[in-house]
Amino acid sequence: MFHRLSLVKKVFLSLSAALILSAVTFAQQDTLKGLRGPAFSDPSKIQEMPEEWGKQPIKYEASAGDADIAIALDQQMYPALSPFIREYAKSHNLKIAINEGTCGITTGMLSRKTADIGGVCCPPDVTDRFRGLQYHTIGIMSLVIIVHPDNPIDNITFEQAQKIFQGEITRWSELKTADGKKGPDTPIQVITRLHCKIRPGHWRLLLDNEELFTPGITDVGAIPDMIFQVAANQRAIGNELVSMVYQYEKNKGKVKILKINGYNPLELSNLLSLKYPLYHVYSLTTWEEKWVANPKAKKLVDYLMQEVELQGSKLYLVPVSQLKKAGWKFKGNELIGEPR
Amino acid sequence: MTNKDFCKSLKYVEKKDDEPATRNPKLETRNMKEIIQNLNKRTPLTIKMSVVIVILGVLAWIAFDYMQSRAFKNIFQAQLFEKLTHQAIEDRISFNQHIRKHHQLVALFFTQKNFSNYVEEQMWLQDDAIQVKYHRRPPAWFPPASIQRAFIQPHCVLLLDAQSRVREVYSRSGTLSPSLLQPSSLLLAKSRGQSFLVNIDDAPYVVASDPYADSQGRLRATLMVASPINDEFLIAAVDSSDPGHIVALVAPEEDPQVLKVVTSSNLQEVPAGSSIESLKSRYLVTGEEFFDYGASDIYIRLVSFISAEEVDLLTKSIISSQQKQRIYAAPVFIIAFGLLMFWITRRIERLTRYIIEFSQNKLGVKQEGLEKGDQLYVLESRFHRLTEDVLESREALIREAERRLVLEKERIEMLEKERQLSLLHSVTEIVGVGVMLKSNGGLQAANKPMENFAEVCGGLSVFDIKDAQSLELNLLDKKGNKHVFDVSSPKILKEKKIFLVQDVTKIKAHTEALEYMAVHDALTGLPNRILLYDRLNQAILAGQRERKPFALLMIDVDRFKDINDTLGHHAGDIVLKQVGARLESVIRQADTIARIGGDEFAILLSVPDIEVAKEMTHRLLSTMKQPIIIDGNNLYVKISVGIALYPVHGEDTDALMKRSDVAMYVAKRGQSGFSVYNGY
Repeated sequence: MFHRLSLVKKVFLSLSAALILSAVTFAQQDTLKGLRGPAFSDPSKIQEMPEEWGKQPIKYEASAGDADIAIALDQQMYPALSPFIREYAKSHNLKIAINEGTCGITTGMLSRKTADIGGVCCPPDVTDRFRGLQYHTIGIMSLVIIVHPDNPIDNITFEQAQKIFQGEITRWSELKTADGKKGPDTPIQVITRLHCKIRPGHWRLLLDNEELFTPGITDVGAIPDMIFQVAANQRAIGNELVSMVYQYEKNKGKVKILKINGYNPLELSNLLSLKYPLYHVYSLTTWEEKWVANPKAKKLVDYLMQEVELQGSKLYLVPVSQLKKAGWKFKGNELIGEPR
Repeated sequence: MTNKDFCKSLKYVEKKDDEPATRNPKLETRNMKEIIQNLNKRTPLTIKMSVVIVILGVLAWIAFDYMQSRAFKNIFQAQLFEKLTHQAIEDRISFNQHIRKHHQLVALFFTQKNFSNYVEEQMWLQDDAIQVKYHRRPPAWFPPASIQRAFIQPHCVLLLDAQSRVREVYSRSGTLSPSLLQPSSLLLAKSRGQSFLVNIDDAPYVVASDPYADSQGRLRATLMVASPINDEFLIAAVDSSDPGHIVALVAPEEDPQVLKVVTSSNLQEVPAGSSIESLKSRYLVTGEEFFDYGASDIYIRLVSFISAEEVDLLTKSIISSQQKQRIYAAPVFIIAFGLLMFWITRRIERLTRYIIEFSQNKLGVKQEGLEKGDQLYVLESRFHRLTEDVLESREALIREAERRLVLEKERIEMLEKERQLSLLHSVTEIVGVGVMLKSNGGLQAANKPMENFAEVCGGLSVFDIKDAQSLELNLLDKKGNKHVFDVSSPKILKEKKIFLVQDVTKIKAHTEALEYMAVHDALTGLPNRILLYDRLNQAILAGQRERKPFALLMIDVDRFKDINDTLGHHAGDIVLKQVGARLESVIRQADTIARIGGDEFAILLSVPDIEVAKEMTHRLLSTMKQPIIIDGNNLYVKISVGIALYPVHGEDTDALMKRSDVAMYVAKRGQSGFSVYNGY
């Protein structure tokens, strides 16, 4: 039928289709933009610090002692990177002190200049950017929506996810199962872990700020508590990094990972193309200024980035090279924007 | 057991005054053993079993109590630990909410009219010399206490001007750290819009702040709320009324693996600075997970404790309650058991009585010397004796049955034999066989034929063949006639010997005649060819054995056919008879003459050599020179003789017969009278 149309009509129809598609895409992005928080912060803005701070050298904490390199990793990065770091220390005959903490502890140590390398799973906020501190993104990882394993719902739209966490969808029966049946007629219990509120990305990609969440949330302070609460409650819905889900499932109970808009978060291509819209950004930091820079630390960061490139899929991480190919925006080594 | 019996048994252990000074320890041990055994045997079953059940019950009680206590404690601890894990999660959630309430309180201030009015009225100038106003009581810009109560009671609230300089301070304790009174830009940035956990003067604090802008959007002030995370904070955060439930903040010191208490909800029990490991001996500890606020500058973990001592006390109280229940249950159980044993012993006694009655009445065994001992022992003994009695009776019955069976068998055999004997009498009488019985009473004729034999031959005793199986008796009757009796003794009866007597005189004679006819020529009465061959074979065997030579003479009557043809067969027969007789008259008794057919005769001569044979042949020929008178006429008959000598001319029957025959024909042809085989 298309063959019979004149060339002018064909061009007209094609342009119309392209316009409609673009409009839909923009509309979707607008929807995302509407409630979705910022994915990244402006890399040009940094935290003001006293002048004497700038002159301050790196001084390890007592626990690091006479280490060659001191690293502070948050608890998501620690299990992923510590085996590589230990291997590197062994092969290069280096003494490397690793401090396991949180994003806050890591940036706290950086603010006190007690670590050569910091590792965080959230994009930095202004308060995490210091003079001479360089961020090196190593990859992104899916932030998954989780429910009780007996929950018959397998897939929700992004909008439904937002409405659930906002408290606009309050019963599972308002959602449908894969075979078109209504979900169980029970209230939805929203479990959140509203960490890193001032940092962009992470849960803020679902809803920008705490105020957008329903007042009826149960907010937990630790990752295992999130897994436990969802695994123990058939009505629950929560969100957590995929690597943490698998790490804590053994002790805290099984949970089920939902698809969003039909896209499986475990397929890295969905995340890469942003068809699956929720993720965390994994970054390492190094000091660039001469009096604080540790060349050994820089080499270690290069090594870790290389390892993630090679073994990213095992760690559920989409590595930097793929992000760059897919049009994600970088400034230096730091991921600063989503693809258009 | 009666008291008397018991006293009797005790006498064994009583020391006698007249006992010798030296004592045998082995003997004493044996006596003691016997006394104990005796006592054990005679004590009633109910008492014994009650004692045993009490002893076993106590032992089982101790073992069960020990095992149950351990198992219960383990289960209880596991359950408690699980519960504590849940409690720890609840604690963390509660603590988390309490932390967040600091930021929520800031937001609450901004909603209050009195606060906005107060701030907007303030004219803090940039160059003003800073005069900080301190409040020990809630100032006018505070929310009403009724509303504030729903949130938290912060340790301090600081009101900062637009330049982030502290202008007013509400503090419950009075003194404040300079880090709070002069907050850094980083502290203000990190605490903005959230509750921020940070170390201030080496103490953990939660700080929350927010900038306040007026209706035109101008920044007018910043409100900061801060509280040290201490025991007071933890008590308020966790809100536990259970004194055994303690929460603590822990953080690593130099060694990241060693967690130490920063503060706790009960500093007397869990003091600051104590290591978690050291507390694990006294407490169940759980909930060591991170707080992942991302807005915490300090490494912080919340740990929940439950006193192990309390767990022990709780376990003990439950176990003790169970023990009490068991103590109440024990007497009931013992009484119930005693009654059961009493009922069982009654049944045992009744059973024993049944056995005694059965032995007496049914088996006819006298029940003497009844055993003494407990009911079970008596029953055992009775039953044992019963089995013996039953076995004995059974043996006796079997023996009696066997005896009767033998008798019956013998009776049947006897009847059968008598029947057979009767039959024998009938048959023997018909066939003329005499039956004689020999018993202690002597010989007895059992039938008519036997009576006849005895009468004819002079009594029964002549037929007694003693122990011989069979015997042929030659007897003479009263008239002197010879009789032959065949006597046999088949031994049919044990006590009676039977003899069967048959007169076989005629049979014998007839048999002998038949036997004679079989080997003799009917015409001449001489041995025939069969007997000749027999004798010849014997002679060959003897010759072989003793190297003894002999001669076989083959004789033929010359022209005998002519005699027959001319004078008739009667004349021929006379000739043959005469020739046979004459030849027989010449030979010796040891020699054999035979008519072997027609006119042919053969003579077996025992001779040392051929010469003697020839001499004998001459004599034979000589006898034939006299005429034979037939019907008054003289008839001269000649014979031809062929001689073969063993072993010279042959070593077997056929060879000798053939060669002597050949020699005879030679003699006949040559009219020479005789010829010796010479190998023709």
